[in-house]
Amino acid sequence: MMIELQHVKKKYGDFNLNCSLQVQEGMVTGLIGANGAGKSTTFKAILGLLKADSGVIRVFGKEPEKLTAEEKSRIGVVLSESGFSNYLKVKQIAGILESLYPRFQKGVFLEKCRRFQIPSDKLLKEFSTGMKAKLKVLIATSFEARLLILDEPTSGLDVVARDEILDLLREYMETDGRSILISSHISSDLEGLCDDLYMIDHGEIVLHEETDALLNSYGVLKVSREEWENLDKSCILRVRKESFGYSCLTGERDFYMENYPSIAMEKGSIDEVIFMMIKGEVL
Amino acid sequence: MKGLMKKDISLLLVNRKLYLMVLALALFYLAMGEAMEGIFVPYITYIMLMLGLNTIAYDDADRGMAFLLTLPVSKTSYLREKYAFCLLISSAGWAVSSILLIVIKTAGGNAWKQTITEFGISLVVYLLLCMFLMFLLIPIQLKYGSENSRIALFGVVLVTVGVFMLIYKVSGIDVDGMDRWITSFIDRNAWMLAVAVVVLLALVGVISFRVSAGILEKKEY
Repeated sequence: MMIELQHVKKKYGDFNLNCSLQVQEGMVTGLIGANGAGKSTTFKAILGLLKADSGVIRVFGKEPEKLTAEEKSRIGVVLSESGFSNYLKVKQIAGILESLYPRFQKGVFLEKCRRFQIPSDKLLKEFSTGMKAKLKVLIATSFEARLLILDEPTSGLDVVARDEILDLLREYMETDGRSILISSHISSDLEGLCDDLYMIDHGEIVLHEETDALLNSYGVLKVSREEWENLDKSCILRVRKESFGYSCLTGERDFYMENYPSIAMEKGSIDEVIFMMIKGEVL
Repeated sequence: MKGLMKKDISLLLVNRKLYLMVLALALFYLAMGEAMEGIFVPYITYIMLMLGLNTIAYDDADRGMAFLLTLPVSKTSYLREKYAFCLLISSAGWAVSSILLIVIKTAGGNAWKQTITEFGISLVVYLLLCMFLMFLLIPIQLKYGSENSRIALFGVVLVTVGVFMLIYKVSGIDVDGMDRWITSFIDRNAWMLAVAVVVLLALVGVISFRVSAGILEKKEY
């Protein structure tokens, strides 16, 4: 197990985090949720940047504060609002990384920077948002990390830049024994990358599912009031009142397609599942 | 520690034009006359210390500390590097300015009003004072940040001066008599005093480091 969180709680004013999740070796695990849902707080707890009020956090089987420098050198991190100082240049950062990470490959890193048109002789403060985001991911993947912890690595980027970053991550996962924990509020980014998805809302994990299962088994039924009355509701996860009747989220799409062939059914995209999980009511 | 050192040296170089200006200004003052000789070395040493401390502000800017602590460094090794770096560059400033002062005085044919021993002692005192200031300022800067730490330092100086003034007023100490007594005491116990100062400074250093470690430990990012 790369990461394990058991009932990790943290209180900030009105916000309460209560999170349990696992990141398995060889898997890409996504944490998805709206802004302010608790993604960054969860990441900071995993990285030991804040102290949880209670619960268990394990990274490589150890408490984050007890990780040695060698163990930390196998973790690549991207934080959405933090990074190297804007008063540094890429060539200076390469020198710093060379001293910090025994497996850092300076030549490969600088070559990749060239490939992604990231200037090595300019201060970071002169970089565009896209250039900074790409650089953060290039840094995290430059020293043979076993685990990447990426908080909103594609935030604020256009489609092309987002695709480039996702390609970098796919390339990273081609080596066995590696894992990624990634958060995003852009579901399409995670849909094509993650094996496993956790959905967080108001600090609580509201859904955990393998991505394939989520895309293949989840669906949203659109039913009239009459259809609603006669519907078997045992597999309905959430329901929401609509002008035409009800939208119902189910994790057993095939069951309803076989037994209610006349009912309109939409395949469960991640966006739709999130929307229903957050806005819908539990029966 | 080497990686963090490289980072701080790189950040230090951001202000390289400022250093040249500071040095030019200091040399200009020095050229003004002998009266300015006394402040040349402490001025350069103090400026270098401030520039070292300024790297904490760079680390803190744009929530940078959160990222730095995800690198393969612990909070303790971050602190060790910061103390070492500040000590290193203020000592470098002290050494360079001391050598410059000696060269300028010698080349310019300025009269040496002090003996070599007195001159050497005054230089060492500047360095020790700078180290004391460093031990005081690092925890303040870590606790209150760059801007607020200046206000906090001003407060510390104000309170210290106030306390001494109060003691002076209340006790009615004879300043001249005390000055004579101190001078005579120093003359009689020079070595013992030197050892006491070094021990005291080391103690202040240990306390400063522990306080800083406590501040970092409590901080959340």
